[in-house]
This record gives sequence, C-alpha cells and structure tokens, in this order.
Amino acid sequence: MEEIEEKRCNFVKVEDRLSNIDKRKDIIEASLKKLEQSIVDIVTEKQVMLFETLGSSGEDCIK
Amino acid sequence: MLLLPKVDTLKESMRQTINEIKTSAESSIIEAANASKNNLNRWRVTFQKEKAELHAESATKIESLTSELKEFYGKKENDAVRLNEETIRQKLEKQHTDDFEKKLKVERDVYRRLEADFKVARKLWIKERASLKDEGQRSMLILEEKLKQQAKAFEIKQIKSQEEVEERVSEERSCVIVCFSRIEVINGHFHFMKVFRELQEQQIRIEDRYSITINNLKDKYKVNQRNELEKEKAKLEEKWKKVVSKNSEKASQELEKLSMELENCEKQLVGSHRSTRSMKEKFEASIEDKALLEKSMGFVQKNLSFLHLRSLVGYMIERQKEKSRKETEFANYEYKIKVLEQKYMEEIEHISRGNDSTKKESRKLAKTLKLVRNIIVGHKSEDLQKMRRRCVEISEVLAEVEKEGKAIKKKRDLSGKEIDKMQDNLRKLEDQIQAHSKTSAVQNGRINMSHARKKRKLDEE
Repeated sequence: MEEIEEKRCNFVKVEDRLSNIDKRKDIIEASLKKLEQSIVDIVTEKQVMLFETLGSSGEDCIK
Repeated sequence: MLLLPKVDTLKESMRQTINEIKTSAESSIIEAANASKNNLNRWRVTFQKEKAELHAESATKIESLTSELKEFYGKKENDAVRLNEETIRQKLEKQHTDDFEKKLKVERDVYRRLEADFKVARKLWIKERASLKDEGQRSMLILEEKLKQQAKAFEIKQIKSQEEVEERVSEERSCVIVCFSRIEVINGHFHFMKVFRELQEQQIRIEDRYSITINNLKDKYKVNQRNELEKEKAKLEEKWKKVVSKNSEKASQELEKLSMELENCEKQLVGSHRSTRSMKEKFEASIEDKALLEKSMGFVQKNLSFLHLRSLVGYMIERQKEKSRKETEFANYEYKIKVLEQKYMEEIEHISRGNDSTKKESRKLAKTLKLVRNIIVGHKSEDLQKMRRRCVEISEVLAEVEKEGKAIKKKRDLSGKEIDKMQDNLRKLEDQIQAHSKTSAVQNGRINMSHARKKRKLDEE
C-alpha cells in the first residue's frame, strides 16, 4: 500500500511537471506567434515600399 | 414626465435615420467598388486578350520573316557559292540587313502599340480612380453634412445624447475612410503592378532583342564597310598603278617613237647633208649653186627645228591632258572616299545615339533595381534576421520541451500501468485473504497448521 501511495505521489508530481511543461509550451507558442506576426508586418512594409518604388519608376518609364 | 417619451421617440428616430444613412452609404460604396472592379476586370481581360493577340501576331510574323529570310539567304548563299562572286554576297548581306531592319521596325511598332495601349489603359484607370474618388468624396461630404445637421438638431434637442452621436459619427467616418483606403489600395497597386510588371518584362525582352540585333548589325555593317573601303582602296591603288604604268609605258613608247623619228630625220638630214655636200663639192665652183645650197640647208635646218618643236609641244599637251585626267580621276576617288567616310561616321553616330538612349533606360532600370535590392536586402533585414534566429531558438526550445513532455507522458503512462497492476495484485490478495478467512483453521477437532501458515504468508504478502 505504501508503495502504491509512493507511486501515486510520483504520478501526481509527474502530472504537475506535465502541466508546467504545457504552460511553458503555450508561452513559447505565443511568443513564436508574436515573432511571426512581426516578421509578417516587416515583410508587408517591405512589399508596400517595393510597390511604391516600382510604381514611381514605372511612371517615369512611361513618361 | 411628459418630455421623456418624446425624447425616447426622438432617439429612436435618430438611430433609424443614422442606420439608414449608414446602410445607404455602405451600399453605394460597395456598388461603386463592385462596378469599378467589374470595369477593371473587363478592361484587364480585353487588354490581356489584345496583348496575347499582338504577341501571337508579332511572334508568327517574326517566325515567318526569319524562316523566309533563312530560306532566301540559304538559296542566295548557294547561288553565291556556285557563282563564287563576292558582289552577290554583298547584295545578300545588304538584303539581310534590310530585312533585319524591317523586322526591328515591326517589333518597334508592336512595342509602340503596346505602349500606346498601356497609356490609354492607364488614363482610363486614372479617370476611373478619379471618378471613384470624387464619388466617394461627394458621398462623404453629403454624409458629413447630413450628420452635422442631425447632430446639430440632436444637440438642440438632447444634450445628453451628444457623446453617442459623436462616437457614431467617428465610427461612420472611420468606416468610410477604411472603405476608401481599401478601394484605393485594391485599385491602385494590384492592377498597376501586374500590368507594369508584364510590360517591364516585355520591355526587357524587346530591349535585349533590340540590343542583340543592333550589335549584330553594327558588327556586320562595320565589317562590310571596312571590307568595302579596303576593296575600293585596293581597286584605286591598282587603277592608279595601271594608269601610272600605262602612262609611263605610253610616254616611253612615244619618246622612243619620237627619238626614232628624230633619228630618222637626222639620218635623212645627214643623207641630205651628205648629198648637199657632194652637190656642194660638185658645184663648189659656182657661187649661185652655193647660195642655193646654203638656202636649202637653212630651209632643212628650219624644218628640223620646226619638227622638233612640234613633237615637243604635242608631247607636252598630251602630258598635260593625261595629268588633268588623272587629277580629275583622283579627285573623284577622293570625293567618293570622303562620302563613304561621312556615311560611315553618320552610321556610327546614329548607332551611338541609339546606344545612349538604351544606356539611359538601362541606367534608370538599374537605379530602380538598386532601390528594390536595397529595400529587399537593407530595409529592417537585421531585425528580420534577429527575429528569424529568435524563431529558430524558440522552435528548438519548443522541440526540447515537447521531447521532455513526451518522456514525462511515457513515465506517467508506465507509472499508471504499474499502479493498476499493483492494485490488481492487491485485490487478488484481498480476495484470497477473504476466501481463506471464510474457511476455519480447525478441522476434525484439530488445528490445521498448513492453514495457519498460509494465513501468515498471505498477511505478510
């Protein structure tokens, strides 16, 4: 019985560790999403700049 | 108390009117946007069709021209090889260059047509955009005016509901601005960039073809001109040599002839002199004969000098005539060489002008390319790299965490299984103890030792 109780205690500890790991995982995933969003923002900014430059050059070419 | 229901009714009426205005504005903007999109799509489809048709026509024409040229050039080349005449080859090369120029002209015409189409399309697009903008601005102004009027009325009637009205007005404005910005972004960048990219690609292709053909033509023209100049120079030198040799031969022959004639004359004169001498010796005695003889001698000498002078004058006149003829021929050849040099220089200038224009265009394109490269490579690239590195690090940490989680899950499953097994064993033992406790330790008035031992063992377990 004692052994079983010990095992149960271990099981509970392991479950706690698992929940902690899940929380860490959620935090890391959230930070990853934020990073990805910032990368997407920078890329869109670049795209807008490219459109602007190409648009002006195109107008010059047409003129 | 009497005013409260009126205020409520007024509020409701205001809400209804604002909602109606909002829905009408949204519907009008959406309709206008849809109409403009449809127009743009139609125009895009027609433009693409026309462009594809033009492309196909130009490609087929170029192919047919090249095939015809190749056939023609091959036939003519064979003829030239058979006949072994350089003049025919030169003619063929000229025809080839003319055909190439025609092809270039056709390509330039196609490119100009495309440019004109693009300009027309761009004008249409600008007009449509301007009309949309005007419509949007008008509707916005109308909306603003209506809202202002309503707000004023509402301010007079209800001071409390002013904040709500202002908030709604701001919401309406933001909605309208967002709609406009979307329409502008959609209409502006999307379509223009597509068309412009396509045209840029086309322009680059045509420029490449143009530069290749121009270089080929330039090289061919230079080689032809050099060959022609060298040939003409060689011909002129040969002619000059021939003329000089002929003239020298003629002069020498004429000199020889004249010298022969002079010698003959001298011989005749010597003979006549001898005969006169003999006559003089014979008729020395008579003075009259002597005088006659002296007269005849003077006459002969005069004749001799006259003949000599005549021959010298004729030779000099002929020499002068030949000299003048040669000078005129030389002047003609010099004039021809000058004309050819001028033509060659004009062609070189024309080609250099064409090269300058293409260089300017290429510089412009290179500038835009540099800008694009700077934007792609330079703009916030360090931040991007840092973010990517951070992403990689975080993903690695995530993978480690997932690994840990998997290991802990495995541990949990194993411990759960062990607990289940242990619980099963416990249950079995409890069952056995219960079953054993049901049987009595005393059998036939004696204590069963094996029963007691088993009980002890089970308890221990």
